[in-house]
Amino acid sequence: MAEDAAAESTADGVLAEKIDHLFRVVRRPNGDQHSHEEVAKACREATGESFSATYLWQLRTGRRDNPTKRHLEALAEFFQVPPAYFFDDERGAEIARELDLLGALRNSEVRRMALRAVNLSEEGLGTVNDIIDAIERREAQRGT
Amino acid sequence: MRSRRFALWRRCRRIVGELVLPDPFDIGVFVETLAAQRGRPIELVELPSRPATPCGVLAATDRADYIFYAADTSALHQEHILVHELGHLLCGHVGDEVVDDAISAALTPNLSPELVRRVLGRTSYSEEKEQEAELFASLVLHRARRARHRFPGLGGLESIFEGRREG
Repeated sequence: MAEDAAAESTADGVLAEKIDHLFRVVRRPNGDQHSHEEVAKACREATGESFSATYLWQLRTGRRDNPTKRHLEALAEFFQVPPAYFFDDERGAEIARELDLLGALRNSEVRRMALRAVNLSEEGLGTVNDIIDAIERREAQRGT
Repeated sequence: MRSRRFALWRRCRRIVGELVLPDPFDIGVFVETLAAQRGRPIELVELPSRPATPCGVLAATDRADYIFYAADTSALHQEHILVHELGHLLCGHVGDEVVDDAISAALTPNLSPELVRRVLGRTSYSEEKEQEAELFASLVLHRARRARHRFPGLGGLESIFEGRREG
């Protein structure tokens, strides 16, 4: 029965989107996305179960949505996110927002950043997005 | 520990000692002069106020250094924020890292510092750099206010509170 618990969070392509999100944000050091084979291999080793690149591609594209709990835990481990990303709607949404912010920072022109005396909460994420936007506008003005 | 702090203090004093401060001190002129010396624009940008806005942010791109400062605070506090962030620039703190561990803990509390580094591809940022930037701000503003004190009327009220400090 425990194996079926994972299925609840997988309805309506939500699971596919979550997995895809991880691939898009958490990349290789050179900026390329991890390959399905690379991730599948790590998951095979972590679980000791079969876990093929094709199976992973099917999960990522919503062609299958019935992974076991252990498979999702292995995926979470590979991408270094808390397993709650898959199993807890509320925390999953928070983690997704934080992944977005990291992705935006990485893709921005910002190379380095230091903040002073921060007490950042949820609104802090907005501030950082304001900063990224402001920089992008200014760089675009200069760039032309 | 103590000798490290002493080394920090000496290094910071040396950097500040080599600066030519505008007299009377004017933060805008100071920033312009530093930008010209560094051959890199320094842009000052007001941060829209939100709850829990950080009071200052230094961000560097390939083209320029940006200093963001809180809009909803006193002119004196803004000046202090700007000089603190300039301290990060002049003490060479903006090296390889995008954000420090404390920032990532605040911005992305659900994600591990390891993941943040993996995505952003840099290493961590130290508390010591914050101390050095703060020391830099104190030393620069101390010098600036002593200069103001010599020309009463130019510096504003704050010079009255400067008192006698060993300099």
